[in-house]
Amino acid sequence: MTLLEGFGTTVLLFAATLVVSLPLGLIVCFGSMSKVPPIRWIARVFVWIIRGTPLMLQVMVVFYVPGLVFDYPMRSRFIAVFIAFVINYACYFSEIYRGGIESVPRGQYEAAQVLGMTKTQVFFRIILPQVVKRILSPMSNEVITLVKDTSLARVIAVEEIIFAAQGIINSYALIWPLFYSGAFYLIFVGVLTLIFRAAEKKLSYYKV
Amino acid sequence: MKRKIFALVLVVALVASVAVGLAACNKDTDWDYIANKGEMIIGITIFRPMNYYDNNGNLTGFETEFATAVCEKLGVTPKFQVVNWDNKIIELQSYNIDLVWNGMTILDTLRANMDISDPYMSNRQVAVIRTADAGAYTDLTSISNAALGAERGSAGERAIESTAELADNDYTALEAQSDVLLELKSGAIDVGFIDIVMATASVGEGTDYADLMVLDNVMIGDDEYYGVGLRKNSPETLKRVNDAIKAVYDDGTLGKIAEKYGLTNALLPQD
Repeated sequence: MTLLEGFGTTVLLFAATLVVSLPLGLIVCFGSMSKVPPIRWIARVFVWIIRGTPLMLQVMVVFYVPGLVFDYPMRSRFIAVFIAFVINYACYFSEIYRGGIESVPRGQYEAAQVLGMTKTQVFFRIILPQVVKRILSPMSNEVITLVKDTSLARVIAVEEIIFAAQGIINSYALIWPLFYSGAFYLIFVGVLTLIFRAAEKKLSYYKV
Repeated sequence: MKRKIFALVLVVALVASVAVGLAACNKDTDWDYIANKGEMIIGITIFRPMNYYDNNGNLTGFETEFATAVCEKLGVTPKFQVVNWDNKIIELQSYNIDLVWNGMTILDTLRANMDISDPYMSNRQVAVIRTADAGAYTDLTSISNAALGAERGSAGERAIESTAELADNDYTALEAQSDVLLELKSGAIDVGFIDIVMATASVGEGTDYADLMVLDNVMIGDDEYYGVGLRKNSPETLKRVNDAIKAVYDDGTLGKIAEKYGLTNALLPQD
C-alpha cells in the first residue's frame, strides 16, 4: 500500500515536472537564442550551471538553502524537489528545442515571409510544427530519463517509490518491495515508449 | 533593448531585497521558536524497532512512543518527519526538523554540530552472519579474512576501524543499516556490524532474514549510548527535553514502552 502511495508521488512528480518544464524550456531556449547579448549570456551561463551540476545537488540546494541562509525553512519537500526538477529539465529541454529550431532550413523562413506572414506567425505556424517532428526522439529519451530521475527525490526524504520500498524493508525486514518498484518503473516506461511510438507515426507525414 | 536591461536590473534588485529582508528576520531563542509554532518536528528514519510502520501502516516503535510521551510533557505536538540520515545535521540547521530522535549513538563528532540530550539507552555493535557460515565464523580471529560491511559514518564503522584484528579486512561503507542485511543475504559481504537493538528485531525467524544470525561472542567497539539530537546552542530546549525525559522515566511510562519492545535491559536510569 505504501508502495502504491510512493508510486503516486513518483507519477505526480513526473507529470508536474513535464507540464511546467516543457513550456519553460521554450522560454529558456528563446533566451539562449536571443539577439540581445546580455540575455543570451545569462541564459547560456544558467544552462551551463544547471547542466553542469548534479541534479541531486540542486535538489539539496533548493530545499536546504532557504532554511540555512534565510532562517526560512521550506515547508514542503515535494515543492522543493518539483522546483529543482523543473529548472533542471527546462534547461535540458531548451537545448533540445534549440537544436530543433536551428535545424529548420533558412528557406522555410524566407518562403513564409514571402507569403506575408509576421514573425510570430512564421514561428508558430511554420517552424514549431517542424521542430516538434524533429525533436520527438531526443525528447522521448529525456522523458524516460525523467521517470527514473524522480528517484533522486529521496535525498531529501520525499516518499517516492524507492524510498517507500526502503521503508517497507526496514519496517518488516522484507526484500521484495525493491523488485516491485523496479517493475513499476519498467511498466511506466513501457507505456511511455508506446505513446512516443504512436506519436512518431502520427507525425511522420511529409516524409520524403 | 535599454528597457529590457532596466527590467532585468529591477528583477535582480527585487530578489536581492527579498533575500536581505528574510535574512533580517532573526529567530528568538530556539525554544521560543518551537513553542510559538506549538509543534515539534522530529526527524526519524524507518527502522525496526525504533520507528516503523505496523501492519495497518501506522507509524509506531519505541522511539515513536517515547518521543510522543516527551512532547506531551513539553506541551507541544509531535510531528514525525522521515529524513535522509546523511542529512540529519543540515535538516536541523535549516529548521526543517527540530529534533533528531532515532536511536542516535552519541559521538563526539556529532557534538561539534548539535546539542545532545542525556543518554537514555545503551547499545553495542554486534556481528551478523549467514547461518550457513556459523561453522566457519565463530570468533574475532576467524572473521579476520571476511568481507565486512557497516553503515557509513555509523558506530559500527568506527568500531571496525578501531579493532586491530579487522584492520586488513575488505570493508564496504553502506547507505543504511538495513542495506547491511541485504548485502549479507545477497552474499556481497560476509559479516555485517549493526546496532544490537536492530539486529534482534530484524534477523531470524519470522523475517525475510531468517537465514541470518547474530554472532554472539564477537563484541567490538566500546559501549555506546543513544541520545536525542538538538540544534547547536539551544540550552533552553536541551534543558526542557532532558527534564521531560527524566519525568517520563520517573513516572514509569518509559519503562512500560521499553518493555513493550523488549528493550528493558538497554534502558538507562535518569538521575
